[in-house]
Amino acid sequence: MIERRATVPGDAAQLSALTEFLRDFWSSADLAPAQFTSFELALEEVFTNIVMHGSQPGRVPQVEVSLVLAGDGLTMTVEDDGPQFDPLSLPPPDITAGLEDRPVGGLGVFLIRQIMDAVSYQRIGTRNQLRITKHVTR
Amino acid sequence: MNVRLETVGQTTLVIPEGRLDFGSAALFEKQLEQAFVRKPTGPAAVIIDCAGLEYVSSAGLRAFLLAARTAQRAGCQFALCGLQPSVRDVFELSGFSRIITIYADRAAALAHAPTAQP
Amino acid sequence: MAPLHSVNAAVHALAALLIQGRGRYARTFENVVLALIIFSVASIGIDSIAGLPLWATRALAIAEVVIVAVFSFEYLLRIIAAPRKLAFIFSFEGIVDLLAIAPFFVARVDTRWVRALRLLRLLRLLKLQTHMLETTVAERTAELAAKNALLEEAQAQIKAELSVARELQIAILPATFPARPGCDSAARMIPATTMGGDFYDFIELQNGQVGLVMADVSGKGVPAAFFMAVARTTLRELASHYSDPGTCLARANELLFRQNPMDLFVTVFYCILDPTSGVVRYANGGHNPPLLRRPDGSVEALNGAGGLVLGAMPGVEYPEHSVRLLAGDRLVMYTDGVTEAFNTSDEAYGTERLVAEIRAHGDGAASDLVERICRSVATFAGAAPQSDDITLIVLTWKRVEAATLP
Repeated sequence: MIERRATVPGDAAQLSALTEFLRDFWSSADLAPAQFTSFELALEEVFTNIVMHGSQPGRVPQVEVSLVLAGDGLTMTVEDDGPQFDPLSLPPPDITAGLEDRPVGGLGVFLIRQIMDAVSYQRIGTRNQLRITKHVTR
Repeated sequence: MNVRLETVGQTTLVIPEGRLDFGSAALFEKQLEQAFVRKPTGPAAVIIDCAGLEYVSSAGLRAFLLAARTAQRAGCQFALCGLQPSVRDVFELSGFSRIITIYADRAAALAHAPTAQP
Repeated sequence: MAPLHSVNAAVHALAALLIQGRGRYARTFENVVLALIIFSVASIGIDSIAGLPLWATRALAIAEVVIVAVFSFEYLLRIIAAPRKLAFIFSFEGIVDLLAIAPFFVARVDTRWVRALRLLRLLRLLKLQTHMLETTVAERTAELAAKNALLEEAQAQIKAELSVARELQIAILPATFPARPGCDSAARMIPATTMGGDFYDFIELQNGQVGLVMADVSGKGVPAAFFMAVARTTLRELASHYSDPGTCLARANELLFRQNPMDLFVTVFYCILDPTSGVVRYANGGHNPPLLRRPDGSVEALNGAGGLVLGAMPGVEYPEHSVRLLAGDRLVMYTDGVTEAFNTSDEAYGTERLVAEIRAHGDGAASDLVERICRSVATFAGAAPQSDDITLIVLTWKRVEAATLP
């Protein structure tokens, strides 16, 4: 099992640091580059949701990302200590709607669900925990 | 990320390069607004050449959606071209490929766009 | 004679209290003496003022008597308190103290000179300072030493308890494969320096079947050790209720996901061997696929898709596969403590080396192969510390001859 963890404050400028962290993990775990973008996208969508919904006046949430590679499965867990927020409870966008009727938001979680194998959310004490898993190739 | 604007006859070509994510989406949106500004009546077509776009997230998709709507309301043609495979996947998954016209490359896109001078 | 003894004892007690002690009385006495020294020296100045009123001169004279009385008393007590009397009398301090009072008793000496000599007693001030400093330093050092001793004791206790916990953790691993005709098995777990979460298990099932488990918990330390115990118990219990490895892992995953306060994961390879037929049914939850060595020396990994590591996500499915062992086949189950063992040049032992070792030496007893692999890893790692538990099971299946069947 290869495990790595990173903690950053939940502000938009930190996204590149998290992407770097993911990139480092990808190369040290010797994973196929082709699937990197899927995880990069999922990480961004989860993180930006936290940034948008997790801030309280005068307080930026702490975000912890952990990556665990066991066998052919990669598990990414993103935790934050912001107010309760379950991104999976957001209504999915109607992707069959026409140009004018398409809602502008809600695509992030939808995309994660499409490209990842499984997503789950738990509220643990004062933390939001979102976990994403996907089969990867080495 | 950086965005270039070029004019080919009646068409405005938008050429983004780099990553279109949460951080760069605002810049992209601004440049797209600029693309629709052209005296006196606006361009006849706006084509976004995505050959240099490595990555797109939902924030970027939002910008494309807003631009597509602007084009429709202005009666202006709107298309994308040169999507890289991973970016293309995102468009397909989100159903955007059904509401936005996508060409394989710039040549194909321009061939369908009105470029003749008025 | 008795009264003399008690006087002696009383005087010694007084000396101890006022001179040797560190308490209130000694400190107060010392301060009084110092105040008198200072006054005595100052009085030289006062005395030399011309036209001093008579009452003042008289007062000074009385003060002088009092001072000499106190100093003499102190001097005597110091001699009594001193462990080596002569040494004190002839020491600088002793001579100074004597000079401060002696002239008073010797006639025809100008008392002003006497009082000037008392300036020397001011040296006592310095001595008091040093004494106080030494006392403070000594007290602080003693405090620190006491605290350090407590800390070390606490640390030693924690270490001892962790060591016991580690021994228990290893002791609960089954030592041997249950006896089955045609099966030769050996297992080994070499713990890393910190508490880890590797474990293996042999489970006796119905109809003579045997369940074999090879598992690895994420993280290290006490949480991993705890989760290891929970995982092992859970698997054991479920194995007795569910005869399919895949179902067993799926149910184990549900239970572990629900009781996972530390967010740990465990990779599990679980297989069920039918010793009479040689059929091995298996399911894999994120673990390294075992290696199968055929009698001709060829080695390949057991294939078949596995499921996700256990404890991470609810509702995971674990596809089941099976392989039929042939006479002389050897199955090697291991954890990544073997393949991820690093040497000082930061190279990993890797799967290739393991395969090579199995290919070259896999035709003897199971315990031999276990030993060889462990030695090979140890030699490779060299001086580099072992960062992860090394766990191995080797199972050799020799087909049971028809004649030996009941």
